[in-house]
Amino acid sequence: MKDCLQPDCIPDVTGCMHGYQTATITKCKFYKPEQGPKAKTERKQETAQLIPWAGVSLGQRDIADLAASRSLSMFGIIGVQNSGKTTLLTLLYCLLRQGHKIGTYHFAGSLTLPAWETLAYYMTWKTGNHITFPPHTPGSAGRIPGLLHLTLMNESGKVRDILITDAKGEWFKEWAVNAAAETAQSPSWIHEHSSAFALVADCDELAGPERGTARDELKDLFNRLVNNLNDRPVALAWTKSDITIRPAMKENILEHLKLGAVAIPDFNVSAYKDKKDDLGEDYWQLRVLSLFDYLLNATENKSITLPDIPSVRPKDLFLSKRMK
Amino acid sequence: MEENILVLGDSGTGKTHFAVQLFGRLFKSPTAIWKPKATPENMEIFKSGFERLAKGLEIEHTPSAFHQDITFCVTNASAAEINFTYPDYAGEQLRNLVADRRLNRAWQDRVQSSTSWLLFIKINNIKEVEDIVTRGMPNYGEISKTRAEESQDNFQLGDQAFYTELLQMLVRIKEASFLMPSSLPQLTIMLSCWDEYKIDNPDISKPGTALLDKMPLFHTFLHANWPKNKLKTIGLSSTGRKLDEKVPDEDYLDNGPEKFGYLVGTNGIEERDLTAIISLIHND
Repeated sequence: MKDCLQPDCIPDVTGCMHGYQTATITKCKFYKPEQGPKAKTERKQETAQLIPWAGVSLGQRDIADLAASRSLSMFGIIGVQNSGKTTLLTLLYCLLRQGHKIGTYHFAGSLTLPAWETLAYYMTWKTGNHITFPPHTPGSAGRIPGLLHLTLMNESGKVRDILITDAKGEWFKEWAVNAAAETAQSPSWIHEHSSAFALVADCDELAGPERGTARDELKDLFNRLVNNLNDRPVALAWTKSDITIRPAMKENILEHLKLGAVAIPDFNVSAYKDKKDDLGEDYWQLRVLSLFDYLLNATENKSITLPDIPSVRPKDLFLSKRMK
Repeated sequence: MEENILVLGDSGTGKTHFAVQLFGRLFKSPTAIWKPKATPENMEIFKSGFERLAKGLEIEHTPSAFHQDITFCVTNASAAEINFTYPDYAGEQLRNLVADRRLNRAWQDRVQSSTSWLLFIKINNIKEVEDIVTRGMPNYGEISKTRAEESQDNFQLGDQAFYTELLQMLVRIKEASFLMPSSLPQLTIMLSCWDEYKIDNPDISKPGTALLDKMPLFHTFLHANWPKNKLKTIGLSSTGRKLDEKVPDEDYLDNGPEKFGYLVGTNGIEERDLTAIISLIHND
């Protein structure tokens, strides 16, 4: 987006180098507006596409930075559509934003801050606006899911770089059925490269009229997940824990998880605060931190090498953080 | 070694008031340790500022058309030199810079040649975030179960993310790295209009505590990345009190602007000599 003939001047970004303001910019002799109405439309669309997914847009420079990281882990978030994967991530960021720590680790930076902020925007009270859940995660082209990044540091100065996947839920369902399906590329990629996993169990569905189907889907997903797991840690997140599921259902699922031959701790999480629990009303929200604390500890000293991630626009220095 | 201080701050964070008050003192106080090396080439911005303060009035907002760098150099008895650079003085570009992630060549040069950053944040203007963690979720009936096609037209980075992102970007432009703390510049966070903040928060005396309280994410980001000896958080009240645009402050008329303004050091102790900031940055 460039309205000036001079190489280093981008009037609507850095301001006109010759000091002309928006109202008078046409007087600048180097000013050259972009092609009429078409450019205007494109610009509008770009703003409208202000979507949170950092995913495919992790740039090469960022990857170089991450490759230099001494400790990189990737957490695959596995769950069907509408199960609360994105909300779980949003909650994590909202907690960090208020100064909460993940176990002993605190926030030290992020290559995808605008993406985190965009997610949090949905769950922030705005004047005259209601809180909404984040929109459905759109499908990204190819195998690479949306990736959110955090740099964390503990009290003794140890730094961990964390990538968290955020992929379209529909694809997981297909992956559970047929891992070779074209639409299952992204889940397969997550499964292949992640250091640890959080499997998402949707309490709303597991308590509802379709709970039989929901239970079987969860089991299918779990069976696929533990295939070629190679001792990688798995945790279970009961999302929407403000909705109570019947003990028989819970037991049934936990029983099934034992087939995986790895110990799978489970965490009750929800965006809602709990008013009943002894541990205080923040219980469900704070359990999100416990979940990630478990994943962090379970992957300590097991750094991964980042798989090759093609960059979409390699010339852009700040690709990962571009919002427009 | 020559020190180049890059003065950074969004519009309305008090950069002008600080420059005018600091420079006024350096010029008018014969006992000051630091002295201006030369009169800055362009005194325009200072001149109108001096005039306003002498009349006991608030300095008007710097017009955004004022596209000029302001630089001045101060020196002490042992001939140490410190250059202050106020890039693109009006400052509105800072938000754009983060939103659009582009820097023109002039900015890149300034960042790369800087050895120290002075970042102005008007702490009292930092909005408290009200989200599902601080305020909780709405009642069931009020939240849309279907994902709202909510417009993001009003979206902008929150204050904490903005300042974090700004510093992450500047570090990269400087070709420094958080993996190599020695490559990072000195960073001084100037919490401006400290007097206004104190009125609302009489119990908080240390600027660092104020930053932690208002901006916990940004605070942890700073402390995780900057070595202790390179990071300071200072309270600043350039004019000592809020001045009006139209009604002159009687005390200012009687005593002169040089009698007003103070710093609050990292330890929470007030320092009436504004020029002490230079020694602070200089690590004396």
